Amino acid sequence: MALINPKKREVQVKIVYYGPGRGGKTTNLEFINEKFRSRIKSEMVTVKTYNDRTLFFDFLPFDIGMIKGYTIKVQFYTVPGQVKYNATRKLVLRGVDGIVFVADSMTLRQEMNIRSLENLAENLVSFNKNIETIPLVMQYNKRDLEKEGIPVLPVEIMEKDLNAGLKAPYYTASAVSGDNVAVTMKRIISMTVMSIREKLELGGSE
Amino acid sequence: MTNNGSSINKELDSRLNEFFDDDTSHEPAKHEDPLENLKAIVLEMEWELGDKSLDAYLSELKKLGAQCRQDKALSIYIKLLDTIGRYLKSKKAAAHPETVSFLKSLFDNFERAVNSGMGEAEKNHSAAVHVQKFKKFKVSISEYAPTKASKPAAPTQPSGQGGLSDEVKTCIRQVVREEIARLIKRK
Repeated sequence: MALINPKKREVQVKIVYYGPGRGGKTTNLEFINEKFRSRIKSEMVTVKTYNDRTLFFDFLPFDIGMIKGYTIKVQFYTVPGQVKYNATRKLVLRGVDGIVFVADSMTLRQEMNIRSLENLAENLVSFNKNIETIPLVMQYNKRDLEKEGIPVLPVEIMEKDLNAGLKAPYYTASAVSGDNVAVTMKRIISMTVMSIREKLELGGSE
Repeated sequence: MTNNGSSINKELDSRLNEFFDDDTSHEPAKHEDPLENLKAIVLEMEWELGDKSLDAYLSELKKLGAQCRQDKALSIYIKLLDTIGRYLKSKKAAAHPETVSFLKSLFDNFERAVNSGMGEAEKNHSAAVHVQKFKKFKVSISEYAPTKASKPAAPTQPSGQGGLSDEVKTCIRQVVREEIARLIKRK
């Protein structure tokens, strides 16, 4: 739940990058951290295991400035994608305001994407949240692999698999090259802040 | 609500576009050298010493002086460079023959202090060393002028004891006094 501090005129929103393991969640944040380093002015925290996999989560906080007289502080998190770390994923999801689902476009990962999205829906339920109503952006990552001859799923199939019912905005992307990474992020911030706008207009109620 | 909602949306979109603008002018200038202009002018002065280059030199130092106000060591360098520049401007060809090379060496050290990521202590030490060199050079200017100055100073600026105009001498004295006082205070 967004933290609104009416005294300090400050809003803190939590956005989580969710998705299957090795899908590019951390790469998204790394790109943002690198590309907008001069404006972010804070450090990205990341805890990885020996083979470069996210063990707990990545964390990237920054202020985007004032909206309606409130300083908007955004906190980006990623979850560990590996199936075995569900407890950590649930922990990271606590208090989430917006989600980017980073799906892996590789054909081989089709099943993993679907399972991960189901897992997200289940975990949200445990916090009384609904995947259909929470601000959500789909990112179909690794589109660049097609150029290297690696089979990737057509966007239509990914939409059908993952977004047929949700109808969330989606972007094809390449986190490695930064393609559509910032666009995805802008969209989720925008949707998340808009989802709490009533509270901002009332001067904060939490 | 709709109106408010769309106004927030507009404000938010514009804020986000501004924040995540791809325009690289927002990004730190990766290899921008703050001394680039001054360096070019100093190199030009090595070849030809004229009013134009000296004016550009002094004006560039003024800009840098404002930018480096908070950095004592760099401010010392800038003042020394400025004093020498003003001396050159007043004397031109009649200046001590080593003046330009002294200025160049001072500038090289200033550049090192700005760009090499020296620590504060190292920078202060380096500035103090150059204040001493400046004092020695000032003495050599005084010794040089009476015997070798081929062109006497303009009548409005009598050469006096050392060939330096009173204005320049006063200026040099003042700068050196200030720097020494600062260095003593720091120690």
